[in-house]
Amino acid sequence: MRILASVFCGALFGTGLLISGMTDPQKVLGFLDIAAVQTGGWDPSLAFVMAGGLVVAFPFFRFARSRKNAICGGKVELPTRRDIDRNLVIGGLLFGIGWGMVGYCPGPAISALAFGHTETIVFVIAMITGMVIHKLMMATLYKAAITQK
Amino acid sequence: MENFTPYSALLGGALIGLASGLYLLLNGRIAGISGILGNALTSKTPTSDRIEKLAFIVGMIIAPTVILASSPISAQSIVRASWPAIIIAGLIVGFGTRLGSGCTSGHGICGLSRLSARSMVATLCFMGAGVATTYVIRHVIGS
Repeated sequence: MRILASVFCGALFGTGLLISGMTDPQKVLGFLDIAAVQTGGWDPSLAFVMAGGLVVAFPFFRFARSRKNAICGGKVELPTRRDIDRNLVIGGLLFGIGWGMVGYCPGPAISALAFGHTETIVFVIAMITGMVIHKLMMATLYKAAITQK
Repeated sequence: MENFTPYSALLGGALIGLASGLYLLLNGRIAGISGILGNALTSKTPTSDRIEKLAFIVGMIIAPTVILASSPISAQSIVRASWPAIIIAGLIVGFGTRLGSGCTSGHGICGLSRLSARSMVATLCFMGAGVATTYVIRHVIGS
């Protein structure tokens, strides 16, 4: 059941990304290019994607707070961290730089694989490599911290 | 504003929000794509959990593939960047989203829906850096 729900939600998510235009990097960059307001070339569409997403998701998250168990079994697991640390800020900034360079963030890059362009495939492989590098770095730092103690 | 598409943006956004909300109710998890992909790749994640996350990713690829193959939708996905830029951008998007524990979906849609201050800060960081980078590439280097 949980696997089926995952495929279904993933499919819905991917459909939303495609319809919204998020899978097109030029559309995304057209939004991030706020300086183009002066020339009338700014494309505010992405703000509408965000607004549509938040309006629909908000009541679900409200409702889920009062629920302990998920419908397909298991617990409802919401993030518990509240601290604003250096990693959050540096990670966000790095991600934003990469986003502005090409116009892909993780979700749209994955769904854009449907177009079959080599550029997208290379981007996704690089993105996965970046995630693996992060994992290895954290493991190394963790080991170093333990041996220091 | 010739590229402005408010209706398809709202509809697509609503579907993304619906998918995130349903995923939370059905499976009890946050639909953050960098987290889903990252944890699907980590051997520390229990196998059943990994399969679920991979299933989400498969759904994300299959649905657009079917839509593109079966309907005359005019969607595009044009990358205008050099190969080194594509690779560097991919690397720092992957690394940055893991370091910052989330991306546009996890912090942007889910985090802001929970009114999380952490996600608000993260969203401001990547939006700000995205705008600044686009500015530099299009109007400083590109002009």
